[in-house]
Amino acid sequence: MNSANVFDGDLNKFFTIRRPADIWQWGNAVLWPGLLGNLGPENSQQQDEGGRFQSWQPDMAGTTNLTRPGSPFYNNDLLPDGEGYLGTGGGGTPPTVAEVVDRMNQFDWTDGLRILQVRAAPTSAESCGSATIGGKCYPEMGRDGYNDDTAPFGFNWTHKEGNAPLSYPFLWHSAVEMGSAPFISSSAPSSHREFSGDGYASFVIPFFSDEYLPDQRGKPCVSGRTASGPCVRDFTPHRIMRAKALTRVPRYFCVRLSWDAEHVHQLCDPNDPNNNNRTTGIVRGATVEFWNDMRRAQYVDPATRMLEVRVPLASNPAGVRSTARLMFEFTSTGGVLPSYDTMTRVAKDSSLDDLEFLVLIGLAFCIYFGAMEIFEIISIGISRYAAAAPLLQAPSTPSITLPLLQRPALPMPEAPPRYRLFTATSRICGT
Amino acid sequence: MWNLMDWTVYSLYAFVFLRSKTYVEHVRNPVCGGICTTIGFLDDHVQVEDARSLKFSLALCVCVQLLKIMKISAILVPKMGLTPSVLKKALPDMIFFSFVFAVSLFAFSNMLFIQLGTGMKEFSTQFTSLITLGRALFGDFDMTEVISNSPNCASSLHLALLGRSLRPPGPTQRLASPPSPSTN
Repeated sequence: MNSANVFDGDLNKFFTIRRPADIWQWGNAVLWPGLLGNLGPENSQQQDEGGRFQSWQPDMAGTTNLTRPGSPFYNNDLLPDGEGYLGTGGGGTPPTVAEVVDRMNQFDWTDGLRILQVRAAPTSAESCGSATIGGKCYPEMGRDGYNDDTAPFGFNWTHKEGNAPLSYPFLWHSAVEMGSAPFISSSAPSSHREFSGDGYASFVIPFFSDEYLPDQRGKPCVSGRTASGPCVRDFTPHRIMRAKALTRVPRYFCVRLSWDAEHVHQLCDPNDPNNNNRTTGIVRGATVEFWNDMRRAQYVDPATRMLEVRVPLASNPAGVRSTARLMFEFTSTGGVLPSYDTMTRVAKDSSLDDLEFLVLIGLAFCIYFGAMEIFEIISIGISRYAAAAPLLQAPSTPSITLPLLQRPALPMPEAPPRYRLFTATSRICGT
Repeated sequence: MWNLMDWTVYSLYAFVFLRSKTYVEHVRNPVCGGICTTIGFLDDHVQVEDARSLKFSLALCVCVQLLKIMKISAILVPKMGLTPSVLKKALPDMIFFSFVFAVSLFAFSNMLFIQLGTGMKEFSTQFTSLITLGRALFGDFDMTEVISNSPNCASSLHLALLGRSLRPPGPTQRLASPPSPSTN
């Protein structure tokens, strides 16, 4: 759906993304609605004005302000039981946490989503081997003068005066640090390039919790490690993952957002006691605003060479998992080349057990038939074996059950002249 | 040839077996890296690569094994041995033809790369130009979709289609020169 749904009035889809602005629009109209129940935003195309959730609070102490004067928060995460087109035209019912759980079981991305960027380090025009205006050059990936950028970056959109740097900029991490693949290959037929797995990673991790976790920003606390200062409460003890037995009840729908892989913004939907404890939609609101904050922080700029959205997915009732990679390659001429790649695999314990059992049976057959081939090599010699007709071979297929049908491939004796015509005729018949 | 296919299947299966053990091990005991410990995102690239490699080798193994049905069918009904025997008969010719054909394909792809590469992304590199020309010549199947769903599959499928397209018509050759039983 993320590659097939249209994201604007011109019916552009993922594969017709051609400029950075399209990527943000695609995220608002296709990516996030697709991941959040495959439902379009209600009434307006996006619910984002900025400054409500502010995952990047300059002092990391800010709180979410849902009741801003003149701009009340509007729940955009509703079931498609409203009016109008696709039932999202107004009056829809907010889902309960149990309904969100059901939705996630169908299309589970609680493992999180990673956005990774690879950037070109600025170099001189001389290193680039080309004349440029201003002397600076962002080379094409893999071409003269290209090096991956590792410097922090980001635009401070809340304090534009004096071009103040972003308080908590996007940070570079190596693939080893992130525990990710050392190389990322493109699936675009016109590219097939390999990018470094190092880069600037951001994360969106939705999860269910058995306990209400407060709205916090900062460095995450880690179990077993002593924090040097205040940190965001560790969600591991409360995070409810896929399991066979129900040990804890998911009561709150939460999200953890990290733009630099070092700090996080974690918040849970408190549920609305005035509406039968249904969700208030702040998880979706925070996620969409996070995406648009990245846009406002100029996450994609002329130095960007590759942007990858990686989502490990699962369909829990079927026990099938897949990993979707949505990649945007940026050329030095400013073009965008989109491509995607999916890999599906079984995750059910019973399927894995079956796999282990069946490969053992297959191995036994392989050893048996291989041994028969070896005995044949020993008995007839390698040279005769190599030139042997198939009908003489020790068959490794069901022909072992048809020995009576095997005809001997003995050299045919030369027929007397009067029988030669008959022999030729029989050969033709035999074909 | 059939013996070679047998041993190919055994070798491929050994790889499938080892890869399946690795895959199951990694799925059951995923390694949590630095970001996984702090932020909470578990990158499953190891399982993905295992699964991709396992599926690719299993697919090849099954393909070669099923191709051996031709051997059995030729035993049951000799007329069914026509295709492999024609291919075997024409093997030297096909090898030389393939070489010359590959050179001409390379030459034309180079020409199109130079002429169109700056304007059309399908010809933007030598490799993509080769792929595009191959698609134009051997049927315009959706290469993008194939690569998006299994990058490993693309090359094998392309080679298979190439082989299929290069296969010469056989019955005339076979009737003109009937193979001996040892070449069946």
